[in-house]
Amino acid sequence: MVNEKDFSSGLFLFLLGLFLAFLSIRYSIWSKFGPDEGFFPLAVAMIIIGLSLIIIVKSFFIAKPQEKGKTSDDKKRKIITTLRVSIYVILMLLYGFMLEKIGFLITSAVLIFPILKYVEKQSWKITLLVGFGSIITSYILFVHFLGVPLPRGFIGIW
Amino acid sequence: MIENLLMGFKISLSFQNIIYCFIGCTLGTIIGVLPGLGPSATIAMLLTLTYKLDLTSAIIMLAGIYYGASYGGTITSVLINIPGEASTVVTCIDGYQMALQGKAGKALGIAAFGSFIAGTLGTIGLSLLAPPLSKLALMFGPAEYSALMILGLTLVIYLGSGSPLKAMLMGALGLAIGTIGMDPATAVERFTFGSQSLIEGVNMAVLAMGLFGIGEVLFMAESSGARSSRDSIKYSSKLRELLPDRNDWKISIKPICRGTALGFLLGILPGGGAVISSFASYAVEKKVSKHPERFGKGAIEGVAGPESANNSAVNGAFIPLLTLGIPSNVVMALLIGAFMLHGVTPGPFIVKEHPQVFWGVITSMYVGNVILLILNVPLIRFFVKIIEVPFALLSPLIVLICVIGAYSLNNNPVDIVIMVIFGVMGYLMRKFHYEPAPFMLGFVLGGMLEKSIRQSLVISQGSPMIFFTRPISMVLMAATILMVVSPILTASLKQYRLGSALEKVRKAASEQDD
Repeated sequence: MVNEKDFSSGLFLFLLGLFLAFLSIRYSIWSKFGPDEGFFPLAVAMIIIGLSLIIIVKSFFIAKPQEKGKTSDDKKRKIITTLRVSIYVILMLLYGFMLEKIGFLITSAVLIFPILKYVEKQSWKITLLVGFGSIITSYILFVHFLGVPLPRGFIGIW
Repeated sequence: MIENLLMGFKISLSFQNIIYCFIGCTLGTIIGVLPGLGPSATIAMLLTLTYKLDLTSAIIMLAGIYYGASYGGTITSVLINIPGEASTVVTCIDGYQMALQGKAGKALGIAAFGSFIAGTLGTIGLSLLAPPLSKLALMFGPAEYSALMILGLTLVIYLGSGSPLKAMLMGALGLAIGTIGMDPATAVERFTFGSQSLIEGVNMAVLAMGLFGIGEVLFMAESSGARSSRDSIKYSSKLRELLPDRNDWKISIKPICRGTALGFLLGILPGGGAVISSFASYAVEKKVSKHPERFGKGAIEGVAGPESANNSAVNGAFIPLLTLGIPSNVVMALLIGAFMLHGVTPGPFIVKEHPQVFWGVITSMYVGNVILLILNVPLIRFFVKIIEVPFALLSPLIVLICVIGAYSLNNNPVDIVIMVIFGVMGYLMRKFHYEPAPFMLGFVLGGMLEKSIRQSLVISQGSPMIFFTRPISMVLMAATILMVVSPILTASLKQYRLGSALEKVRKAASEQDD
């Protein structure tokens, strides 16, 4: 039985290694003075390819511990955890794209409140308290203490 | 030397630096108490905040977090059998048993005093050894540096807790990420895909915040819905009951001394550090004890030895950083990031060029150990309360500090996106059982390693024999090869023995049949 986690991660890293090797050979590997800019990345890519191949091969021989049959509860839990992690990631990426356009205050609120209320399932009281507390603390810390100019966005506040 | 120490004390005892040392130690103790959030994530998160600080104050604060965390981790290990820190895992074994027997105060007390003694002796060792070693480091050429870095990476890989193969792969991946950006020798842009933000390479603080801060938050986000309540143990925080009695001291003093020496030596070695030294100390104490059967049932020396070892290891780990500029573990790699944010490269020249930083940081550790002793003994009750703060409330604050921190580095929102990408990577690493520490070390060492390997090969006109013909690099390379080959040889030998034993059994069985 294949160890799926090792097989899939090994395969991903193997492809990544191949991609890195392909990119590296587009640079000069060796000149008359010695190794050039493509030498080190190519060597590292070869190591990645070799090691990931070993992981792929090993995944066929080292069986993973026997799992009990997955119940519908397990599947549901898996979907929920994937959703929780995905919401965190999407909100953080949104933060990166929106920060300069909309400004610190609203973007931070868009990040913090959904996390607290819908991902971490806190009451409105705690959500507002911790949410505003975090935003104000980080504003004081970065703007007043560290002098970081946080973007104000089109609204013109913070 | 004494003059330098006095200068260092003048710097570390300034009001501003005492405050930063206090902040670092308190923060370190708190994150040590909080299971899940380690010193790597905290230092990564605070790297950008130190940008506006004076370099000495910044390093003093970050170092305080590092050694404060090993103090704090002990509290949860003893009281609730959950190690707040990887370096205090071994303390759970006898510390928790002592707590069950109503000796929690004594376990915490001996851990605090042992840590103080070890931390102070370790700092003395650091003060004595670092200056001569930095002179020795000046004899290192590119070949020696390459060999030392290869040995360091190998040690981190082989002494890590997970699969060495996966750790090696992560180290290589870290080296690969380190090559992004402009080539230092030829100024050719590598793997930037036309992005202006990547010309300078991936920012270390962005990578660290993503890998450790965001990665940890995402990993915890998976499980925060399914956390169980923790049973805590009743204990007294009266000072008198925290103080070990004469008999406890009699039993513990030798383990403390042995733990200090062992921890310091293992801390110096690249890849050594607090975790391995605490386990090594426990093994040594059990081995030398006249009553090894007491271990695991609440032996005080099972707490005193490892706790001393993990604290002196922290001091030892500063030696390769301050003398060679090479990090021996992931926290030291992050400290290099702090040095670089201030435009200072740690290494043999730091003693001459920035004596105030060198001696200020070293002497701050004496101050830090006193602060930690004061904090740990009477404030244990307060720190225990912190365990009750749910991660669900901490995670949004961590996320906010990380995203603003990433943005504030260059006022560039692309850094937030890059940090999130590394955050997802850190999360997947934990999920697929790959360690992020070798990746981070590979990334930090990547630039230095590439530079010294290329310089060595230019000097030798392309011959790799340069690494095996110069005495220091030859010894270091031999040690690396030995480390890689020995587990394979041992495994083959075991297989051979097993095969021949099976053969004998088969022969005996066939003879019986006949």
